[in-house]
Amino acid sequence: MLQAAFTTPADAFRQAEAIYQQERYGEAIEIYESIRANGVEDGVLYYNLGNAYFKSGQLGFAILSYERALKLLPGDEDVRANLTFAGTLVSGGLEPPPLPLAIGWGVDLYQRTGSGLLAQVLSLSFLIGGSAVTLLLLDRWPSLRTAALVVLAGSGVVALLAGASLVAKVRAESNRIEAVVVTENAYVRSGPGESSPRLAEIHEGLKLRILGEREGFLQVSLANGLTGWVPREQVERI
Amino acid sequence: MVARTLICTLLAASAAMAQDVRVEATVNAERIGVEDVLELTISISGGDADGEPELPRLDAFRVASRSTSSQIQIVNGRMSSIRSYIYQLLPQKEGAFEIGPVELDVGGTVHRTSPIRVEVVPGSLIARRPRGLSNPFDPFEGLGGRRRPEPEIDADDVFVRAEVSKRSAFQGEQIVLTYWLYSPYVPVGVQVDDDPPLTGFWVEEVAPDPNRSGERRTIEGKPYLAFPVKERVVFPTSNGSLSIPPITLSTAFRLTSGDPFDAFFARASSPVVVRSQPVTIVVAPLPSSGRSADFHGAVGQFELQAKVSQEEVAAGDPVTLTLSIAGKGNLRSVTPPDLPELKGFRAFDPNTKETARAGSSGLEGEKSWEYVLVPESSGVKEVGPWRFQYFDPEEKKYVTASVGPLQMKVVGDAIAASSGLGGNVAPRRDVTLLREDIRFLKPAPPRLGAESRSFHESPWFYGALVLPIVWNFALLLYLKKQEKEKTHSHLFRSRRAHRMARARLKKAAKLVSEGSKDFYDEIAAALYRYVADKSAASPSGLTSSSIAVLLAEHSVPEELRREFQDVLGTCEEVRFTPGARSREDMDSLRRRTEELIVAVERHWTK
Repeated sequence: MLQAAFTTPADAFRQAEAIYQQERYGEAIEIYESIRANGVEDGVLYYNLGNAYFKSGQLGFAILSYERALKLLPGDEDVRANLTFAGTLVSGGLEPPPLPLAIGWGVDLYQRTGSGLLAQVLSLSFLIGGSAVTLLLLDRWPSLRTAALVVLAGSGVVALLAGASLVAKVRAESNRIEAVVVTENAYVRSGPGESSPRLAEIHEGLKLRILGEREGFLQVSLANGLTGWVPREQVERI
Repeated sequence: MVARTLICTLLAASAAMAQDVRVEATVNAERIGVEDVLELTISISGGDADGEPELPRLDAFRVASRSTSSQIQIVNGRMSSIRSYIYQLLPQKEGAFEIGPVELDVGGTVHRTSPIRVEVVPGSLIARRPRGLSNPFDPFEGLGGRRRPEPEIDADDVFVRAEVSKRSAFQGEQIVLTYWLYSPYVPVGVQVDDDPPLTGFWVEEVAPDPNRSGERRTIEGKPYLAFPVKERVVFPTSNGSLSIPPITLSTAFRLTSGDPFDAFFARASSPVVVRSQPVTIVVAPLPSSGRSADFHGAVGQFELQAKVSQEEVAAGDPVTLTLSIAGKGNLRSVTPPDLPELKGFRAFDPNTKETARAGSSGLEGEKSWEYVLVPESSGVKEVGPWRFQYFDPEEKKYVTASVGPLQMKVVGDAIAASSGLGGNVAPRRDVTLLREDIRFLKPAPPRLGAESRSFHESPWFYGALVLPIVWNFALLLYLKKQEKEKTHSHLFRSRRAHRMARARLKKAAKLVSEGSKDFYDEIAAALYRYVADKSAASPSGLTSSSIAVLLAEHSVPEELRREFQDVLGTCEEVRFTPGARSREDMDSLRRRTEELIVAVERHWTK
């Protein structure tokens, strides 16, 4: 309905921004959501949608949108900053146990690198390594043999890392194993069912890992390692 | 002090003079009333005490005041000093008591006074006659001749009365207690000598009003000047019969005569000590009927008010909610009404303000609590209502005051602002963080959803992965084939050698019929090519001698090698000698060559 009024996405974005500036966040959300309803998956769209949700006080959907934006724009500093800021407002937020520095860097690099970049790195390392192989095969210039071997080994290592990360990323993305709590409160129960004892109370915006699904309940694990079941409608997959 | 140093000096000067040290204790009366004041004087003559006299424990008396005086006498060229310590003692109970002995160290010797027996009887006995005391500030006194008549002060006409606003009260109800000094004269230098604590009361002192003057009052037909000496507001904290103990004052009076000169040089009388009568107040406990959970001990008349600093506020911005209770009564112990749970707000501990003042009409004022509220979400919010119950002692019943609820319109969003509050008391620095907020919207990307299809899903990615493998594989195949071809061509050529040679010989046969000299070249070429093909060598690099070596290497017999050289020699010879050759010669050479090649082919070994 709203979509009809805009000819280009840039138009729609401008309109939404004007409305957002007037603090009519609900309407801004509607515009962004209508663009999304047309099947557009865009990092900037999710980022702006997250902002509108955030300003309207819907922390859960804000974090969800930022997380989705981050998947599409993994290196974007704005998305990261807003997600971090929103994360500080999650009550009872859980800090995952700290990692050793080197591993922490590695994880950070992994998180900041998108599957697109990983694929580019992978293909580039293939091309470089392939060229090195070609040099070795031709065997025309004996002085270049060592250099070619070194380049081949280096590109092989890079290709291996990038390839493994890419596979992990693509699998995680296609499985959508992460989710965000979108209701104000939710209970983690010990089993799938309202009668199961409550293990923990979690709040809007908390990020969860989905382990399984059964009878309208999702088996989730929290950052602190706690595992339990939450009703499916209380969380939204990223 | 000056006198004392003087004595010391004089004593030092007359150290040789042996003086009799005498220490004496005297009282102004051995029989007094319980309302009277006993004056105990300890005098030391002929020596200086090391420190003050130590009074023994006096159970029956309280020391109201203490003063000293010194006198130096020179009689018949002998100097003597008398130092007196004067104590005003207030009897605490009736009966017969013993004061002393008082011990005093004079010049290293401990002197002891003889004990004094004093009987305290009910009421008052002593007619407090003032001792005439001159005004030390009257410059004319020493001049002689100008002695004014001293008016008599009748101590019976001087008394202090504790007056209360009510003699029966409820617990917590305020009572104004005023001590009035009654006398026919104007008092000067009123001093409170004894003011025992008021047990069972919470006391609020009323600040003395310097502009307050005395009142003329008539008691039992006698006119008096009444001065409020001290005023307090007291709140009984327990019930039953509570006693307000007597207060003891000492005061002098301005003595006036008809002389107008006295208007400037008024003289003060000697001090008179007066004591009030105890007052009993009957305190009733607060009734239990009508009391609710909102009652927290307030007694008096109060009003409850509530207000917010802004009716419209941006979410995240602080709003001040002020609850105030104003009125008369025990304001100090008034607690704020219970703050109902504020949904959608963050509340901070209240800031309490109190402007209560005790006055002649009691304790009056206002107590307020300022709550800082931070709305967390937008919308129209309600805070309150609040209820406050107090006991009105005039009406003798509980009254509940209520206020609210207040409405507040919260605009804008909240979460962003809420954390900005943490830094509202920022010290001075280059950057003052006012609030933290999310980063602003981004403009539309040139192509919406461009990054949603990751590079790993594009054909270029797979192309880039496959390409190096393909090209290297192709290169490998090519190199393999080349290698193979290299070895292959040797076999091929050697296998082909005979056929090629025969083809050349056929061509040579044709040349025979034409009678051309090229025939010999063709024969030589056939032989050279044959050897070259057989041995995978280049035909251009071959000479007749290198051919001989090659033939030998491939185990061609001696006679065939000679025949080979012979045929080649013939061809060479013809090339360099002019003249035609007969067809027969040519044909025979061709046949010879043919046979030779067949023979070599048979013998050739790899």
